Amino acid sequence: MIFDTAMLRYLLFMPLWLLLSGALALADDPSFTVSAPQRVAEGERFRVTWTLDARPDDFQAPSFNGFRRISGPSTSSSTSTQIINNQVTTTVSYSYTFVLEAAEEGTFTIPPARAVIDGREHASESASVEVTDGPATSAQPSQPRQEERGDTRPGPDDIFIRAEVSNSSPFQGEQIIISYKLYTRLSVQNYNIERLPAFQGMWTENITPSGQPSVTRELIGEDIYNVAEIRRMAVFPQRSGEISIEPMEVEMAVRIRAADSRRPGSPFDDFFGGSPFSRYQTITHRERSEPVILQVERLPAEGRPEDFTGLVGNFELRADLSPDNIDVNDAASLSVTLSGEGNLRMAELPEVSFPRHLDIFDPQVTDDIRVSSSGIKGSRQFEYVIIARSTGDFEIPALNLSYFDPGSRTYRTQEAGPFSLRVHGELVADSDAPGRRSGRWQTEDIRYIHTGSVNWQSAGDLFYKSTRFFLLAALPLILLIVFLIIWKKHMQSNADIQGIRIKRARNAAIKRLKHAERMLRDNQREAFFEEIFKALWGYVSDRLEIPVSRLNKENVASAFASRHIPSDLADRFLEGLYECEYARFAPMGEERPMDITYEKALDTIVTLEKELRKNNTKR
Amino acid sequence: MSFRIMLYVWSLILLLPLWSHAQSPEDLMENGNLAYMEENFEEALERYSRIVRMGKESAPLYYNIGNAWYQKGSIGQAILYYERALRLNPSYEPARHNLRIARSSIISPVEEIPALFFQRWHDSFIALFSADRWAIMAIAGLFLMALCIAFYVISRYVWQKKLFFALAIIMLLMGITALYSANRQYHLRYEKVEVIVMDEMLHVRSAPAGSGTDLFVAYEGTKAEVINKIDNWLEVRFADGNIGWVNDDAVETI
Repeated sequence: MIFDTAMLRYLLFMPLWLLLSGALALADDPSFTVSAPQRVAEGERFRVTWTLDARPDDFQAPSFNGFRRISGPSTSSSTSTQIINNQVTTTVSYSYTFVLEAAEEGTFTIPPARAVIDGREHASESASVEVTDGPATSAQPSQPRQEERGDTRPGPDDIFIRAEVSNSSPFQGEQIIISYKLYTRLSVQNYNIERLPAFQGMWTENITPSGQPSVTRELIGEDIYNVAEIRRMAVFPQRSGEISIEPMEVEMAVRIRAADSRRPGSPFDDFFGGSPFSRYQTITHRERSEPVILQVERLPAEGRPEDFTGLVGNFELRADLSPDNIDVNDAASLSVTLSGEGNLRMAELPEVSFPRHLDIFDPQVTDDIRVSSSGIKGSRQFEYVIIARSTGDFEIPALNLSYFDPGSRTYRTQEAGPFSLRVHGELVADSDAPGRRSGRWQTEDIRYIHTGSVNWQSAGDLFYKSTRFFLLAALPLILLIVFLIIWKKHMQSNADIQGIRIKRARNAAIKRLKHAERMLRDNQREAFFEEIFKALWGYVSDRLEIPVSRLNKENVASAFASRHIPSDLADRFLEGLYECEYARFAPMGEERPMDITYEKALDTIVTLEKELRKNNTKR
Repeated sequence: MSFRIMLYVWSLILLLPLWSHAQSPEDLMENGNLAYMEENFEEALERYSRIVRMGKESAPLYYNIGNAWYQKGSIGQAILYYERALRLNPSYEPARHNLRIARSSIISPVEEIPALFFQRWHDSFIALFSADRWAIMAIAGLFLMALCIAFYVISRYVWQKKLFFALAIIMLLMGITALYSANRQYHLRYEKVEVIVMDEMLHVRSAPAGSGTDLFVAYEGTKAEVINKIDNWLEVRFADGNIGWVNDDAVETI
């Protein structure tokens, strides 16, 4: 990458120049900064610049004790306008630049400058400049050597890359920082990292600050080098033993003075790429760093906690339960924060053993990991959502985080908690309560298995709609019909027996009465009354189903009464009987008229028959 | 002679495993219960399902299988087996209880439309007994009715006739009620096809094809009634009244 146009070179270095001059504008409080090189050689000319982000009404430069003022102040201003969401932000920057020459060796302080902004006086900070013993006559320290050699290649002392390791014998998992720095006495216009080292067996993170690298000056031996950090890595070795990191290769465009040019330039020209009028040439130069060897120490086995997961560094564990007083089925959150310096991205969450009656959702992980030039720092937060499924006081035991502290070479354990969670309120048997799928209904568990005897049935074996079922369903109806038929027959025969007896009773009575009639005609008195008596008795016995053995007047009276026969009829019957008995055994001469008795008996039987029939149908 | 005895002994030894393999459902149930008690649910399930493969079933068996699945954390399977147990014996209280608990731990955005109170009474009345029980009760009712009619016929007095006539009517009504319930139960168990969602999250589609639009999501353990079937796609109705098509791989018939 070679840019031949000098103007382009200028443009390329503008940002670097701005960075050096510290022209960083802050919007709020007016900033007033000074920038000066930390180290210059005796007799070297350098710039001191004060920068303000507001227009000063007055600017007063301090006295430059120990330096010679070559020129200045030269003022410049810049304005930038930004429009974001229709909001116009205007940033202004004013700078005052002096060119000084270091007159003598030693450390000097440039006192604060003063400026009046909006009627208020502001002071900048003071700057200190170390003036070293440089070549007394040379204003360009790098120039002679390259020129003396008279070739167009930079020598090994002109440009080199150094890899600086913050700790070359770290512990496994410990964070170290590797910084690749480009040292140059020549003017490097740009660079390109051709090959990054493969960091085998380690976990790395690029922590190079973004933008143009800042340029510092360093004195090595007798020479002042411009130093730019081109790469900065945070490295976590993952295995123990010797680890070699391959070199890094950088290709750069170096501007060197053409061999035939003898015209002296200004020191700034040299540093910032030369003036467009001097005769320089740009060459491509490759440089590689030295390999880095790390001796990674194994973590001591002694005293290693059981829950150690490989965290190395310095950590702090904080945990917070909020709220610690909730209603049942409500949520609380336990946030566990792990903060510190080290391999945070590999940090696993400390194990939390929650009580059984709490439903826990998988924790949400929030990282706040900052990558800065001093390594990886920050925090990692795990947030558990807890849903209480039953009431009571629950204790969440303390959380432990074990890590290895490389500073003290010991394992340390941080503890947070324990926490107590109070859950109150009514437990509602609410099936809609939010629950984890594997969550259990905590206050109620399922009933235990059935262990007793079991009625087995074959699958698909069903009584309902089976043939058996239809048969059984038809059975009562069949039985009923059969029963009714039998019953009817029985009733019929029953009715026949009664009919016969009634018939017989009637016939017997008629026969006796006819017989008695004949006796009446023959005037056989005793036989007549006997026949009448027998006719009455026989009829009642047959008709009322009173056995002859039980035939007496009381039984007959009660039989009459039970059949609702009017009492006068019963009286008449009994009277008839009585009459017959009386007539049969009465002495002679007190005869009763036989025909009247006959008529009476006939009448009684006929009326009785009528009554009985009537009653029978009524029943 | 000794050779023959040896042969008998050996054949006995060789046949012994076969004999023990062909265990009775009672033995397998016992073994399954023992495995369950030792919290070896995998083994318990294996033994229980052997009974099912034998073609034997009973409500307690399905109930125990449901419990084993529940303990293993498969809520969908647990619900399936509780439902199967309840199909065999709708009044099996432990299965109802565990089903309720299993349901409470599923994600169920499907909200059941609450039935009217008399519908609920009706359903719970029907669910009191299985179809067979109801059938037996219907037959008992018919028998009693026939008996009452017989008594009505042979009784002599008016009040007796009145009493037995009323009793006969009551028995007839009881018999008809039991018969109706038996029929309902029969329908619910053998004619109504219901499925339980087995996939953790099942997309219910608008058409019986994979290209159908996703209508809504049903979660594991949700019950649905099958109203149509085309190839291996089922049209199902969920308790909230939503209807859609699902692949029959994702569900299990009760």
